[in-house]
Amino acid sequence: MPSLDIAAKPLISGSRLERVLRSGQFAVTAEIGPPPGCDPSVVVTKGDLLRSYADALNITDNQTAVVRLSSIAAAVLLIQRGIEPVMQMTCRDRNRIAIQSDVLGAASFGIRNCLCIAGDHQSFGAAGKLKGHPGAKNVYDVDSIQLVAMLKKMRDEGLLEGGDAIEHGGPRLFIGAAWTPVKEVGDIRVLRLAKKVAAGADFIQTQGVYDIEEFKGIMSRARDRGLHTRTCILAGVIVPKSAGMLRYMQSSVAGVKVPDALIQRMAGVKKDKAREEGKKISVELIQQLREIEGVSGVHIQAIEWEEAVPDIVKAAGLFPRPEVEAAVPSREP
Amino acid sequence: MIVVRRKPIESILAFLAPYRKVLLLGCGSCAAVCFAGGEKETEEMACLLPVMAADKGMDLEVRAATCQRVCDWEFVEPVLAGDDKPDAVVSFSCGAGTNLLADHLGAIRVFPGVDTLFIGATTEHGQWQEMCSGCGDCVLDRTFGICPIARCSKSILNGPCGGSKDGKCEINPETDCGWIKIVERAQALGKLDDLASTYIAPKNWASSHHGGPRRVKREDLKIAKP
Amino acid sequence: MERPFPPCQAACPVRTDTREYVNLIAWGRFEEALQVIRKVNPFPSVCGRICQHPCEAKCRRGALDAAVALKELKRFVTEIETAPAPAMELVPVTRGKIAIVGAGPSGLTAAQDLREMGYGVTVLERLAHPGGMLNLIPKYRLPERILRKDVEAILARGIELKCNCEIGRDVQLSDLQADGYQAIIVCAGLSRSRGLALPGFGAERFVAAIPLMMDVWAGNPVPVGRKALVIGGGNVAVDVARTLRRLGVEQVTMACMESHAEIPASEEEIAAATEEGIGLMPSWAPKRVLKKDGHVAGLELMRVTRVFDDKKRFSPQYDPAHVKAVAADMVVLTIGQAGDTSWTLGSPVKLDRRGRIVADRELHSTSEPRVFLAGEVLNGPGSAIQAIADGRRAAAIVDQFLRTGIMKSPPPEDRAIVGEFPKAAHDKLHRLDRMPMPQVPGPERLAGFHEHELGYDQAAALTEAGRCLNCGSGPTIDEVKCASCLACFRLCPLDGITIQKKMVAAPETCQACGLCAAECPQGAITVGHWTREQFREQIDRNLDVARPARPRAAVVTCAHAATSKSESDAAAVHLRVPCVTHLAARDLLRLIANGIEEIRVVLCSPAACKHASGQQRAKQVLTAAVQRARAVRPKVTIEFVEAGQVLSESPSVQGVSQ
Repeated sequence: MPSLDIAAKPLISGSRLERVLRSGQFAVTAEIGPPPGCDPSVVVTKGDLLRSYADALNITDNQTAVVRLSSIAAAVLLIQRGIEPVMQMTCRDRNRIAIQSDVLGAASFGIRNCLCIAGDHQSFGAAGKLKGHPGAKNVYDVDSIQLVAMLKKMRDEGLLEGGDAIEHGGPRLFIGAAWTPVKEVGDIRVLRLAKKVAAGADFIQTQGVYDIEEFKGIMSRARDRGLHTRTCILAGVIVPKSAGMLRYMQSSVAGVKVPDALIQRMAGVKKDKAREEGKKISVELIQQLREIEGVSGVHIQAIEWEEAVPDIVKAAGLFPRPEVEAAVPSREP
Repeated sequence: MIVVRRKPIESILAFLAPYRKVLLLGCGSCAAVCFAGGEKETEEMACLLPVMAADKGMDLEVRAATCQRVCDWEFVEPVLAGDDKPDAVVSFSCGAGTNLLADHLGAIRVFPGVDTLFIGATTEHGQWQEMCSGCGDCVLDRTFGICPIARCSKSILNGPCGGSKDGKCEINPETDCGWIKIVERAQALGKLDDLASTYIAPKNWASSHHGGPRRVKREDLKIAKP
Repeated sequence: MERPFPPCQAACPVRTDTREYVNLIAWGRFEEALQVIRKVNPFPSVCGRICQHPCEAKCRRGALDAAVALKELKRFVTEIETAPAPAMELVPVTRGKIAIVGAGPSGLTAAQDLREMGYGVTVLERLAHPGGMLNLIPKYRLPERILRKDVEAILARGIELKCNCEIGRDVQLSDLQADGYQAIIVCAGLSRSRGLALPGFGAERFVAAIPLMMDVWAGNPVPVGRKALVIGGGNVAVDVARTLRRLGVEQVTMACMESHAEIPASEEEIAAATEEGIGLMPSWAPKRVLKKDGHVAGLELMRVTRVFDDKKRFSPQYDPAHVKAVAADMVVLTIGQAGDTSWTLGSPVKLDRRGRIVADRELHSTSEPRVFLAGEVLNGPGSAIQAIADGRRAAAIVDQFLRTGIMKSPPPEDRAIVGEFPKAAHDKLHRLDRMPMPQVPGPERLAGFHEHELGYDQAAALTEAGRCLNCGSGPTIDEVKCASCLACFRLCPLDGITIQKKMVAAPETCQACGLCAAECPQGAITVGHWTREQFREQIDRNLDVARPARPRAAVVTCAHAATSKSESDAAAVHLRVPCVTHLAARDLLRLIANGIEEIRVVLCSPAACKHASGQQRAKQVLTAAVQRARAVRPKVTIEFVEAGQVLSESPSVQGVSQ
């Protein structure tokens, strides 16, 4: 159940996502992967497909260090069609000058939601058949937490990181950060979440959750610190396509823990039924996550399978999406 | 120490094609300690290079010498004194020494015999690990002695990132996640709360190489010319 | 690894640590300097007057400007007024007893050494007073009280002295043997003057040196003439000549066989003699006596064409045709001395065909077991310090024999000596004049037998001691600690450090300025005896003494600048360093950490500083240290003050605790 002590607070950015969360309703965001090319129609098509089924759509930013149409450009394409984007910003490819410049640029188009992440290391780009750019010089001028703080400073103080004033005041941003909700030595993941919240993260989108029990445990510890009242946590749900995909994520994707039972369940289903099962699993996960105190929404990632999202959202009882005032593509509240 | 690794012998030989008299200059400090460019390695090179050169029909005269340290000219000078000057020098010291040679040797060409890798320490005999990136503004007070810039693949200052799995870095399962090491250390010292409440602000990289080639000038040590 | 001998110490027959006592004097530590001398020399006061100073002949400063006045410095320190020494605890007699014949320098040295080893020692002396030949040195060179001072100090160790006891006359060797002495060392010296087969020798006013000087010593009336001719070219001849001048002889001439270049007497003595109007006639030998009215009226001298053959053996050749008559109503022969061997008659000690005692010069032994020789009686004529060394050797051999039954001479030393200055370093050294010895003006000297060399005062001594080049003092570079940073190599003003795998210092070049030690980042270098720990102790001690007050000022004075009066600030902590170049940043920081805010460094002016080339660097380093300290103590100041000119009356520096 969402629980956000928001009634008294004025809107920070005025984005649709913020309004949904403020209203106390369970938010839904979904992810679009942009094409490794410059054809805008891919983005537009995916956006149109999902626009009614999510409150805002994340566009990944050169995910796994593979060069794709940039998140900011894709966000512009979406917002020009009246679809609310969540722009993603990694620290890997840009220094603080470029980041701040891009944020100002995005804000000039009315883009408000920005997810701050470190970004996969450039060596990831060379995987499978892809050559990628493993030899590129990465930037990492700032890390994700510093990025959150930087955006907050731009928005709330109207100042750039170096201290100069932003002309006519800072952009209206709804600042997001990622969270890997797994148990780790020193419970560092919870501590790090606290740091992100302290730095100014308005909303959190987590890495995909499969182990509900573990997630419940960590949410409890997050709640102990009151983090759920200071930020909106959207639990991540990665839609599985096959047992193999689940196994791969369990073994090779950091931060994703898949219980054996789930893998067995997927493995027990015939190959042509696997995707259906995956959708089912996703719906169950969403329903379970909704029960957890402090979870304000869900972030659905259907990688290269965006078409699955509408069914899942409907089956989870999250359709239609609430009516709130549209995010105004200008800077007025 | 500065950890270096010898370049493949073919590469070295390729540099030397236009030259006849070559000096292989070894370094008795870091390069020797990491078994890449000390007296032993330069003498090995002095055996192998002429053989390989002969195979390729090159006329190559090779001499090997090692000095205590190439990065202080006074150690090198005596090695290069005398009338029998080489046409080229292959330096097996780290890049610092090679550069200093180039600054001093006018007509004599200088080539690197090693790749200079990192500032590191010995973890086991024959194993060295990068420990320091020379950022010029040390944060080890806040990370319990473990460098997040050198030992985290992304140089994250408030880590770990989501790519850390079972204490290993996402880029290579053999690479320790530097941040997990920091957390473990904080825990062992009973300082987890400190770690939790410490936010390290964006780094001023101006003191690192990003600020331009660096120099230290100690006026108090300057030796006045008589 | 042992540091090489400095040339002065190597030249000294008893290996006096000359460099050490000179440096201690320079640092104002006079008592300690005296102890260093006393450790090896039982006759410090005597040697401070009359030693022939082989050390000065080898002093490397001689090649630069002038040798350091090592003898004069020794004299200075023996004259220091000290608090009366506490009653010496006598070494108990735990071994047998030994008899020593002759209370001269070799005998008394052997006596002291053996006494200190726990033997009972009895010294038999022929004359009425101890001292041997030292007694015959004229009083204007060796005052009575000086000789007595040293001799009494030796005897005070519990040595039995029997004067007026001549072996062969008052007591026989066999008596001593029967009396339970485990060993007998004969140090009878060369008590007889050699004579010449010249007619008239032995007549009044034609005498030999020793009887004459004995009479002078005894205060007996000595018939003198108006014109004296002294035959001989050694120091004894000069002694005689100068003595005759003081006895009123108007004209004294010395004639000797040796050429001017070969004259055995020291240059100083010849110079003094000349100043006193004594004529010198080198390369002349007596041919025959000239007589008038039965009295000696002079000598006919003949030209000496050669004294030594090409093998350096004494083999004089004359030109009898080339003669010269010299008028004189007094002639004194000082042509050498011989030992009195009459005591061997009837004793088991054998003589050879030439009447010399059969002896092993290495082992000091005679033909009779347990009977030994030492000093001039064994080795022939020599200097006092050689006699002292010889007495020591004999004592060691006797002790070895009595303990083990084995006759063994002490093993030869195997220690390098600091070599000559490399030219490059030599050219960089500062020239500093030797401090002149204050003297009674010429005309006043002959009035009597008072000393005419007055000795250095404190200021002169400090200045002169400051000229010591500290040969071989360092630096010692600890190979293990050395990081090969090259700082010392680059810093050394004399280029005294070379690069091998680690840094290596050349002892011939080092002046012990201390710059390298102060600079070394590893603390791998020590120079001389000066250590960081010493200075730390000095600081701690002085701060302790000041408690409960916490002084805010410290005055650090270079030892060589201490000759001048610097403003004494009673409230300040006063510290001494050998030279400002030794002072390291760490030392200042220690002061600052203890509350010092004003530091004044008193140093010599560059013209007077023997480490002038290092001064600039020292100032730079120390100023930078204070700058660094200002991060913590913003009010800290440092001031460099040049010491003023040398004053003759400066406060006793012994007040500064070391």
